[in-house]
Amino acid sequence: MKRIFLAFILLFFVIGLSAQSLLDQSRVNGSFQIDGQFYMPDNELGITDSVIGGRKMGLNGFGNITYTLGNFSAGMRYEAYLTPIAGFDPAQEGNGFPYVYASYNTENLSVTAGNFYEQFGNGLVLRSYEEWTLGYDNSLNGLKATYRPVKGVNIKAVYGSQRYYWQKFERNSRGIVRGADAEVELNEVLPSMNTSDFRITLGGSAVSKFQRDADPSYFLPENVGAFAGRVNMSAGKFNFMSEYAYKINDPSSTNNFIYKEGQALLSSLSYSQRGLGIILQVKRVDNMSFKSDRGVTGNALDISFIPPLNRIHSYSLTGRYPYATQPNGEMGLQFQLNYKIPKGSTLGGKYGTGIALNFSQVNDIQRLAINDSTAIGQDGTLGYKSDFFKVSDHIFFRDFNVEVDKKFNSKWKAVVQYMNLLFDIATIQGKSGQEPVKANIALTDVTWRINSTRSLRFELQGLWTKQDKGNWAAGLIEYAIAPQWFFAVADQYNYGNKDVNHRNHYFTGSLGYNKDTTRIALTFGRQAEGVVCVGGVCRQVPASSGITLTLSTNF
Amino acid sequence: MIMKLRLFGILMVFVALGMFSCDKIEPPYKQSGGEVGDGTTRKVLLEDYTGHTCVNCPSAAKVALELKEIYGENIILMGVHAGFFAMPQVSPFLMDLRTEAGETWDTFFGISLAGNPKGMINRTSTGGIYYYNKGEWSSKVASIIEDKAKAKLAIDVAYNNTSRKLELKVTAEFLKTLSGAAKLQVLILEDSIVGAQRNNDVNIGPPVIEDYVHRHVLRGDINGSWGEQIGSNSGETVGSVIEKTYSYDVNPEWVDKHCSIIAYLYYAAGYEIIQVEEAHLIP
Repeated sequence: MKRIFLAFILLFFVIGLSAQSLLDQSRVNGSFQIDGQFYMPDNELGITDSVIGGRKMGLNGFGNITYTLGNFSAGMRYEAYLTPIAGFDPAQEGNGFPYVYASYNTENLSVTAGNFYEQFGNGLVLRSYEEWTLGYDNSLNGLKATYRPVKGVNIKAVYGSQRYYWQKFERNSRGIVRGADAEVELNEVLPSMNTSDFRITLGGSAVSKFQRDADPSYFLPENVGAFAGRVNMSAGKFNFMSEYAYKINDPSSTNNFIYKEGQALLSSLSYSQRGLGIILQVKRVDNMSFKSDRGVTGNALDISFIPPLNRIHSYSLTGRYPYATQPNGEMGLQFQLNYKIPKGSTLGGKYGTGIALNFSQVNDIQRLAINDSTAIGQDGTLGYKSDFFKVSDHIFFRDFNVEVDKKFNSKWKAVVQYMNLLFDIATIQGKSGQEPVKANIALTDVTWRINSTRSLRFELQGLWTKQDKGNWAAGLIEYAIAPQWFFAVADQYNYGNKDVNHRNHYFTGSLGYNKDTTRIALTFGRQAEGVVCVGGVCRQVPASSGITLTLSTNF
Repeated sequence: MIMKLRLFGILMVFVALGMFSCDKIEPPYKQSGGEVGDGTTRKVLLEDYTGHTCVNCPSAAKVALELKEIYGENIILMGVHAGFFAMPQVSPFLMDLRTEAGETWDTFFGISLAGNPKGMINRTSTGGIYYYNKGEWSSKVASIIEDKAKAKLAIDVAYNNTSRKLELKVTAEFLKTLSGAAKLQVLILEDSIVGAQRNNDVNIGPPVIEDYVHRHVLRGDINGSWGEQIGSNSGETVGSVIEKTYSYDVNPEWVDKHCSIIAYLYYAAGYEIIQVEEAHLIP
């Protein structure tokens, strides 16, 4: 009995030592965020108690934990949308652990089981990612392996099902995704190129989706394959990237069940040196919506990703008409030039002056009938013919903008921006029959650094258009006490609305507090109504009025 | 080095051969129709949540009509105008086809908030979500329309077109014992209402169709937005028959020869429709 007792003590001692050792080698990281909105009736915006419908509060929150021990890591994310805040898909409502994984990584091999994110090349045939602010998550649930047989060669293989809100994957419920990608850095693999200035990387991907055909109307492909090849070359200050993707017939709700193949091409050429950066990007997309459920439209279950070639605007009025990629077909280009006028020159002054010039335009692709008796895009047919290099006259989006930023002295700096916009609201927001919005937008953003910790920032913006809701003006004053506090008041005023009853002010007051890695922000005010259309489904983002609270921290 | 490159080659061959089988479909791409099932199968109610400023809704209505062509009387269509896109707007979108019942369901099931068009199919749900995109309708309908019926419904209509008085008798016959309490819902629809509609399908018409024909439009409920319970709380047993009678005044503005009655039986818990039937006011 005594011997058994001693053996137990010894065992606990060894376990205790091991546990201590394990704890010493372990690392835990995490992040938490809660976004809450409290809604209030606002008669001027048409928000009554019945519109709120008892849902006085929306709460989106997550907690992310990652545990690492040597080559092993595991993690999970808890999410709770109870209820989702306004503008999020009601299908988000729910709580649980949508993201759980375990992973083992060595120098040459990495294996992940559970949920994971992955991207092949630019994502033209596979990209799974998560964007909290949009409520978007198409993570894969399955297995992923990455293998590096030699230096410069990277092979990835994945299979799994994609996240679809809180709906569990079941047989026949949605498709299965399988894919592989290989990338070769020739400068690493070929000894003769090891020291060359000319660098070249080649890559190729293949992805297949399997979904059973239970449709009584169509003969549907159960296995749909998509393939892509890419090259990245650089020499000195130049860089060139191009990727081409091809997808076999994939009739779906998004393309109105046509049987045409899909294609996409994305290329960019850039030049960069001190004080100067130039980039030219082009793309052509034709019938490239690729989802793991052919019946689903909208912001879910995307396997592929079409990168936008437009400047993402951060100011409220320049960002009022954002472009949404049209996976059924578009041809676009973007040119961006960034130049810093040197310090000490007449225009550069003491600190130099930054100039950013950006132009982007997206047109529809040209579509021709496949024969005299079939309408363009008719379901159950090949849909249409399209010459790869021909552009339609139909402009979806055009944005020309110039920005100048200038620091005058240690106290004052300013940004001035002008934007000329053409926005096909009928296509992008689904408001068919409405004229395209032609708008001029100008803004100035001035910062006055009062002392080493305190600063005041002013924004003044104007948007002038005869279409949609007419003219807008916006202003903001922000007072910051670095690094902890900020206070801001802002207003957007739709003074040019043709309907005088809707010439509303959308005022907000906000404050924020930062302490180490914790941030709390509180906003009181109104949010303007809008319509978001993705992949043929339009969702109204309702106007709201109330209080928004954001609390985030990480460790 | 050579060994590793060989391994790489083998891996690539495996990838090419094993993983990426593709199904290239040759014409014809569409299957021919033909009615499926008989009177003892479960009929399907397809509720198309729509609105006159919803640009994608005409193409969804087209999908619903195609299913009607395939399944005939075994599928019953109902257009529910509800939510933001159904609100009266500036001319020509002045018509208001919203109903109290439609708005109640739209809010309860969170449909227009998720975007239009969406459809409910016998109010079946997946993971708590009751609505489906138009591209999912046909496979979802196919998956349940072959079920054996648990109940039969019969609607006897007595309609006086002078007084516009409607007398209804709905008979529910239970072919199987139900697993829980059931409710009966009785509704009135009007077909072929002409009015403006936004559209983005060039095969259907221009961006604004001034004389669009709105099909199978829900006009109102006859016994409340959620109907009424019939039978026992624990579920009716096989063989039992329950009759319900209703009187209703048909709105004089509605075209009575286009009107029909829909009756459906659904589980009080979970809302899934057990059986549905339709009868016209004027046969």
